[in-house]
Amino acid sequence: MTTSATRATTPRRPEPTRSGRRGLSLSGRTKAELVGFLVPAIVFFALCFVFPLGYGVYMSTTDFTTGTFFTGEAPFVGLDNFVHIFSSPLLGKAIVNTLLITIVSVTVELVVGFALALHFNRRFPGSRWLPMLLLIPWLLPAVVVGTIWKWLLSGDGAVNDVLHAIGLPTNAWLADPATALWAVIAVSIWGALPYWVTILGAALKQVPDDQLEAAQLDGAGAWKRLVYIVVPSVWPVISVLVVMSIVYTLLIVDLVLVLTQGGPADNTVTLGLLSYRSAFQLFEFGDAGAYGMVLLVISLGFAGVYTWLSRRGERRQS
Amino acid sequence: MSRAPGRATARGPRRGRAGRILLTVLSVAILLVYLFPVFWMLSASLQPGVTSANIDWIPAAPSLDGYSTVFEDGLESLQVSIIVSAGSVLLSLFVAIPAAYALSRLTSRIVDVALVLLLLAQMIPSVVLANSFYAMFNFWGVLNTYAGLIIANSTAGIPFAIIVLRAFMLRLDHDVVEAGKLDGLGPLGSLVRIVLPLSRNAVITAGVFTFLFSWGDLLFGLTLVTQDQMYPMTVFVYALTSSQVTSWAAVMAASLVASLPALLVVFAAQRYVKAGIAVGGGR
Repeated sequence: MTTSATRATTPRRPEPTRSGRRGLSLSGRTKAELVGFLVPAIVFFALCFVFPLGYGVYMSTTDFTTGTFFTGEAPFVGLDNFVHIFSSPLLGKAIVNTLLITIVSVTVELVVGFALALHFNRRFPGSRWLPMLLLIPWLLPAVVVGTIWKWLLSGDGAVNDVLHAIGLPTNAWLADPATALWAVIAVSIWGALPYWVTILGAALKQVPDDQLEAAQLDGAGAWKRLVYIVVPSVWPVISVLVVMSIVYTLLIVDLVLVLTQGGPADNTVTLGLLSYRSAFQLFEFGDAGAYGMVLLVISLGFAGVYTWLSRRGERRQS
Repeated sequence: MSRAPGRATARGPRRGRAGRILLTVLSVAILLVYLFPVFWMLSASLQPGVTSANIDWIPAAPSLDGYSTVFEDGLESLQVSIIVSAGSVLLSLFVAIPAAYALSRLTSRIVDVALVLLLLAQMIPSVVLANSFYAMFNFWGVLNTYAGLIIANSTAGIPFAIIVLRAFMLRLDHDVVEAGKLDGLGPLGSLVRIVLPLSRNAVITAGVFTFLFSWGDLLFGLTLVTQDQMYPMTVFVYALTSSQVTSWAAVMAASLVASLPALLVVFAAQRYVKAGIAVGGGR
């Protein structure tokens, strides 16, 4: 990341003219008015993020059940809910599944997405509108993606027809404990990959031609141009996509809910699914809150790592 | 994979006409395989009364009977989804536009703090919010209401919209924005008269993404709605798949109807979204 190519391409990033902005002194009145513009956002954040989050923490420390809605009483139980979920074998399984889904999905999406973006970035008849059609799977609601694939992957579904026709083993992919999680991962990748191709494709179009040309004149082969010019110049986009996708995939609930409901035999449970299940199928809101907090801690852990990495990257560059 | 991307001459040796046609054929093949499940949804929706075992890949005698379920029972859900999605787009933009403008102009510490908070807000699991919202909305009596769903769905849209809009507004020519001051415009005047028209693409991008978040939501619809007539389209489809009696044609027809508005919105706005996506992706 500290090659000269990186530095040469970074000025294209949208940067405000810092000196101009600093030099400009906002009058006190303007500043007050601008802060006023933040009021609706502050109210929304307080009401829809801070309060629910605090309430979630509160629920995780109480015996909050359906009865609470009638009596308004939720006895404080300290860390009992956490003790309860940590002593259940489900939690470990859910953590492993959640991390596995996230790491495998994001890795495959990055590699295959980049390859497809490079492919569609070449010029050929249809290279403008064919990639647009590819976006369709990403636009389908998760429940639709799950419903289609649940059928395609079933024992007598179309996937098995194709596998059978070309002589490969068939299976009830979502019902077999050994394959269910991998089937969920594959479906999650199918839905997310088009977004990667689209965003990376847009980023590739911004790669400066003159640099590629100059490198070519200097005798740099295709691979060298890819590694030293193309990848560094789309790196900011890649890093944002990776972080966004990690967070998004960690929180996965809907797709699992539609495809397997966490089954067979709880083999595809994720933290998000357990939280949903505790609250809305078992009506144990305390446990749901506790699962949610574990998920939140993992999600914030990733955010912390990302912030640390990008800080370190900035320091190295400066 | 052996060619570096780029435009014009920088893409390596010029490919002949045959080579380019070959690329088109390869791309079409990739798309055919990748989009097969979408085609399957369409094909199956036209074949009422079949099972996995006797379904044709291409319907021999297409019939629209599968669509009767969604048009008899699903119209209310379609209406709920449209109202909720449109409402959350409006609410998100109403909150996000002034906030993004303020964050693009202010230079104090507030901005750094706000940006970190925005990042954190996107990391709060929506299932955690759903649990709390269910309890909160229950006490406040706003379960099964448009308002409740609109507010819940905006939690996905607002942080995203603020970040995208701010990134775009930062790139606006400073002199143009300042010109408003000379004409005696205050911050509100500058925002409405100058910044907003210039930010059209970013506003449309933020709006489209917010629409997609709300339209595709299953979790809030499933948790914050307990009455059939307030089910959004996604929950309608989910309920159909969970019931044992319905035909696959009906489920696929409902899935298709649940997908079409998202496709229409994106393809109608794609000219603007393309311009905005570069900003959104690079934020």
